[in-house]
Amino acid sequence: MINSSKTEIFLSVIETHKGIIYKIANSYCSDKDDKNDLVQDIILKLWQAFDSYNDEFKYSTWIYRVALNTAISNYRKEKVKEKYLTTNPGPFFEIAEHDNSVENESKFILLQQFISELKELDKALMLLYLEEKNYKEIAEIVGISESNVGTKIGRIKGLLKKKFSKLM
Amino acid sequence: MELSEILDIWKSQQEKIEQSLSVNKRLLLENLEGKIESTLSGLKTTRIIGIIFGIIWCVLMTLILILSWFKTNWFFKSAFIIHIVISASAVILYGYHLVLIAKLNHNQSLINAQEQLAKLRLSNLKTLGLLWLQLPVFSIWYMSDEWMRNDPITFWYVQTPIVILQAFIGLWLYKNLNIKNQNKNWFQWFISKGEFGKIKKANELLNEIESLKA
Repeated sequence: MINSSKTEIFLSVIETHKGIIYKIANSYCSDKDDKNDLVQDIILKLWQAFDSYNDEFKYSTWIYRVALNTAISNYRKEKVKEKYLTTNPGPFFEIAEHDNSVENESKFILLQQFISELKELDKALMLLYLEEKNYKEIAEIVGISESNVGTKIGRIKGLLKKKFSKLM
Repeated sequence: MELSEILDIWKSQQEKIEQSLSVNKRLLLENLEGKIESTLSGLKTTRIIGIIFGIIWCVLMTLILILSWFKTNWFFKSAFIIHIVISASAVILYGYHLVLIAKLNHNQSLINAQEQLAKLRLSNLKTLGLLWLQLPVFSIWYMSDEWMRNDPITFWYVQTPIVILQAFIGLWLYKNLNIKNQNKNWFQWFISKGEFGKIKKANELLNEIESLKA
């Protein structure tokens, strides 16, 4: 029997940080079914790791680490389907229609396309930069020094600017 | 376009998405409460199957060797001993991999977790190379002193070169089944398409990690 307060706390954490999980799944998968599967995988990994959560780090740092590790490890096309007792439980996240200005939508799609073309770890760095995480937090999540973060982010910013100036 | 504009686009789109995103709590709760058991990753599954079959096979081969000890020649005995030692080594290696898999922790930083995972995937190649080392034993076990005496021409000019060639191939594969040769045509012949994809990706990740650390 699962501790109900643990479940409540976990659900509350997921609710508060659902955006992180969604953004990561969106950036690492293009196919809708794959995105849903990845969201499920991430939430499962978070649940399994919940007891060992170290409150020295913020929840967001912990979620970024687990979610990005799950997404990067996600050799989706080749891997054996992971075994769940529930068959096809449906999406854990639902997204309603929202208004978008046409211009911003097309630029956003370009940005997403650029992100999808990056290598796995560069993708993670780009996401963290776009989320305006400070260098300290990026260093904690990725596992490199802050100065190294600065260098890598500088390179990615250059790539981003170059890509957009070519297309505009 | 300035970077600040790009950041603004990202931020405004993400805010809209987050506002329209909802968690299906009922479904989530159902799946957390007992309906999901521990998942077996592909990595773990192949190791466990390999270990179970490996142990059964080694025990069977050892029994055959023991029961036939006084009735068989030294060709048979040496071939079986080599085969059992190499197979047992592969089983031990898989057991070690399981220990490493148990230590894999998505709570870790990206570099640490992905480095461990990538090295684990690449270690599959080492196990494969080890198993190829035993290639000649499959031609040695049925050789005999009687054959050598009664038909020396076939023994020395046909069978022996076959054994030597197999030993050379086995040793060559043991040394060359590594990621440096991933782009060679013969490499992809030895590795299944699925496994090749995983190994390639693991190697690419390790290269990314090295460049991030630099």
